[in-house]
Amino acid sequence: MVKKFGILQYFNENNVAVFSSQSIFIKVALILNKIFYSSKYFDIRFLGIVYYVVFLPAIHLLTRALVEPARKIRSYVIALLIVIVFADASFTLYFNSFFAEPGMLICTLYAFSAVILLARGRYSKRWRLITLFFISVILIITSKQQNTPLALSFGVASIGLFFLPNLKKYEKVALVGGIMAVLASGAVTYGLINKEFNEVNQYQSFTHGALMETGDPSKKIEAEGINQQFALMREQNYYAKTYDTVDPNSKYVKDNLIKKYNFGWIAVYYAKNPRQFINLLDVATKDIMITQIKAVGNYTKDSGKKAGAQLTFFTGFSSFAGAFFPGKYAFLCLLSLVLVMVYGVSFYIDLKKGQAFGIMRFFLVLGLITICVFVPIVSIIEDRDADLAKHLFMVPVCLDLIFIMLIADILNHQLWLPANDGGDDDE
Amino acid sequence: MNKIRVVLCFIALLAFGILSEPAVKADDNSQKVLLVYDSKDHIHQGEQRIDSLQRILTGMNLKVKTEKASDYKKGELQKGYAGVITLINWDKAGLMNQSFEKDREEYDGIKLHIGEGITPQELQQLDAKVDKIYQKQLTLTVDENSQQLPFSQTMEPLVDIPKNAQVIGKLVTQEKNQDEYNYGVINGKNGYLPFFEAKSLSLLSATKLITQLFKNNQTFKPLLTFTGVSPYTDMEILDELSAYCEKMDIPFAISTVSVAKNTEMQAFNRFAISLRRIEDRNGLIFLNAPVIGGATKDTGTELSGLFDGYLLNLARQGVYPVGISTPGFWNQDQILRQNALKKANTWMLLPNSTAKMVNLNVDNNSSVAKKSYYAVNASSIDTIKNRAELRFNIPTAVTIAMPNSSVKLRNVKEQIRKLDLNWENPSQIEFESRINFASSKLSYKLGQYFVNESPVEINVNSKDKNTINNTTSTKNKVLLKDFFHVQGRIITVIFVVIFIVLIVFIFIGRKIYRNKFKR
Repeated sequence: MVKKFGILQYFNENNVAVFSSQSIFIKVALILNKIFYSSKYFDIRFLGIVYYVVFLPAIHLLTRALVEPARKIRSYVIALLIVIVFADASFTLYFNSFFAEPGMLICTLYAFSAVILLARGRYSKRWRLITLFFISVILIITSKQQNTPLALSFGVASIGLFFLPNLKKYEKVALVGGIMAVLASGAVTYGLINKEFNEVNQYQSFTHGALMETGDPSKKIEAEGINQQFALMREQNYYAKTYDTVDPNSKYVKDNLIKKYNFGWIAVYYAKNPRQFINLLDVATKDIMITQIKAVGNYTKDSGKKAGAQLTFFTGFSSFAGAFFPGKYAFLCLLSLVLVMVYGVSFYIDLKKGQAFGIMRFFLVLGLITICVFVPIVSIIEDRDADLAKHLFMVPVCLDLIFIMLIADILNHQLWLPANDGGDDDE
Repeated sequence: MNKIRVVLCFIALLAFGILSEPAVKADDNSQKVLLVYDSKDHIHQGEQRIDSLQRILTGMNLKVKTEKASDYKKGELQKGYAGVITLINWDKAGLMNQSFEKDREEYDGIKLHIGEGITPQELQQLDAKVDKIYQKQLTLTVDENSQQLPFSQTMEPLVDIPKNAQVIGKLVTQEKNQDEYNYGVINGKNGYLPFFEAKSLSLLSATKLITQLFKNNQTFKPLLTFTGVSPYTDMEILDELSAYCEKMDIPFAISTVSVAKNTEMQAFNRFAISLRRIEDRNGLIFLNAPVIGGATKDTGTELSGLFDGYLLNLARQGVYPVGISTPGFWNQDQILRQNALKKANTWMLLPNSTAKMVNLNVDNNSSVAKKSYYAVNASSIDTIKNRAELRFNIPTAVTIAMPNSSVKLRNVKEQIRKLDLNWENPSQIEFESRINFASSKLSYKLGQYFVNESPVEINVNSKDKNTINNTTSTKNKVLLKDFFHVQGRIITVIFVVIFIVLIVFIFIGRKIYRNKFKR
């Protein structure tokens, strides 16, 4: 890996290829770099520092949200679990990179903690947490084009906020405004997707999606109105690694393939070929919990390690989860169903009792579960890229958060009992 | 033990195959020419002119060393060159290299100057004077053909040329009194062209001048070639096009790429059938170069393997390419030339503009083949009159892009009919092609294909037509497929029943539990 990058000294005549909230973190890191290091070279570790400084309070908030304020062994156990899971090197390794994932991880932690803290009524100034929640969510959605569908999931998670006790009318209006802002950020991010990226995604969703995990797809695509000869494009990348039969950007391919289908076509195609779709989902789910990018090495050249060498320090949890999580989409769905049912019970109980905790927690879990269930589907339809693990990044993050919360709720005796019934007294 | 022996024998055979892989030998006796240019002049397509000249010279079986004037080193011209061509793309830039000008003056081989900026020494050797004309609309006239040239700001035609000098083409102004100037001039070993365009009459007359200057007086009929064919082409249209050529009794060639993977698919079979039918209809197949993506100079072996794979998969299906077609720049790049072009003794060099140029290891030291076709777009010669008698001075492929719709197919048929050229028929001339790949050899002579020197027949049957037109579909019956299908459904039903029963039990249990407290 490379530590230092040149800073562009002149006007950049190229169009900005990507619209991303990640730029905020990079700008801050750039300012620090210019003050403390150099105005010509950018040391990526300044970006790492920026992420780290924002990451620590997120861990703090998450711990506060899940741990009961009492000196009991279970509290220490939960805190320890949080550190083991979320400070896993497979997550923190991202900090020293230009990937958008660190921002997504940190903001998800903030958003999750904010809802749980609100549900527990830990802070009297609720508006700070609500603002934190919406800002975090908007930052997640705007960090990457692939995250635009998450706007709907976080929309579901936000419904719980309406059950906060003693909400005034203008506060409800403000919440509606917040949700609208989340949805709008999704729409804006989607609208700003660079045309070339769209074509890349569309092309690869065909060559690495519709043509994969099936016998001979020639007849299948012909039946859907595409020249069967394009079946021969199976496994081709938009940007050829070395040589390729034709240029996907050529007029012929554009006119005869790319213009002939869209994401709707692909959705219909999978609806007509469900077996192939399930196979694809299984492929996507296979490595869902492996959060460490295997394609990238973790050491610098002068470390003496081989190119592409992977770090193993403090990757216990991700290695364990990656090895033992069953790689079947059906399992993911069943697990999601079980989790929703488990939290559905507390939702029902709290709804009857008129308490907010179980309801808000349920909507949060429901929102996160929709991410786990739908992100693999969207990834396959929109962009069946070889780099699937990175597109599914939000799935392990959400699953980890729900698992940790489940363990914390069981240890705190709060799973099906209201917060103030099972746990100790609040602050 | 026997198994080990078999494996060892296989490895030995394989090693022999690899080691003895014979690249088709280039004609090492061919002469070499130094092409020196002042600048690439991107704005005015100077690169196209360089590419075109390189391809013309390759077509004449001349190796070419291309060099920018500023890179020329003293004494270079003395290294056994048969001739030197000076191309001035942008006179204002100038040659800026006195060593070159001095060496060229002393050089006694063939010399050709193209473009403005001719030096007094060159004029002296041509024994002529130069005139400068400004802002004229000129018409180039050669024999009975004429072509209106783009409006030129300045031009420097030769005047007062000696009587024994040979003139190729006249430039006529469009004014009332119609001034006339010389276009190409040859005086002994010296030649001059006031300008060069890589199309139409200018291209033909320049080619004529260059071949005559190098004492090469052969003439060739053009080969009709459809470019841009790929395995993704609409096979029905391709089949109809080849059927039309057969019906019109026109021999033709196609330049097609192939795929290295997925060759087990029905779609590849259709592609191969279309190509076999082309061979059966007196059509030749040129294997076209793939597009270059992120390849580096370390990917030469991969490229060679890729071509071997293409050829092997096609040959297995009874498709035998006769040559390799690539954009011109492949011949200027050591990696691309060595690992692709060198496999064949027949090339077709397409204009660089047909593909994205990617350089892996450019040495600008082009090689030659036994026969190398210069590809020129059909639209660039359709302004020439009396085309039936048109002959080219180098092997030339007149190219038409593969149509991809019925409307375009109709237009192409019309275009072929109107071109009315006397086409080359490779099955009736001294055309001997050979491609060596892996440990195999494909060759073609007088309409007969050979694999490893053994003659082979092109198998075409009536079912092929149906496969191309999609009227039949082949279905593989998988043994016990239905059994597993039924089994899967039974299991699904069982699970659904169990799930429903469980839900019922949960509700009953809940009711019993609640009733306990109600009492």
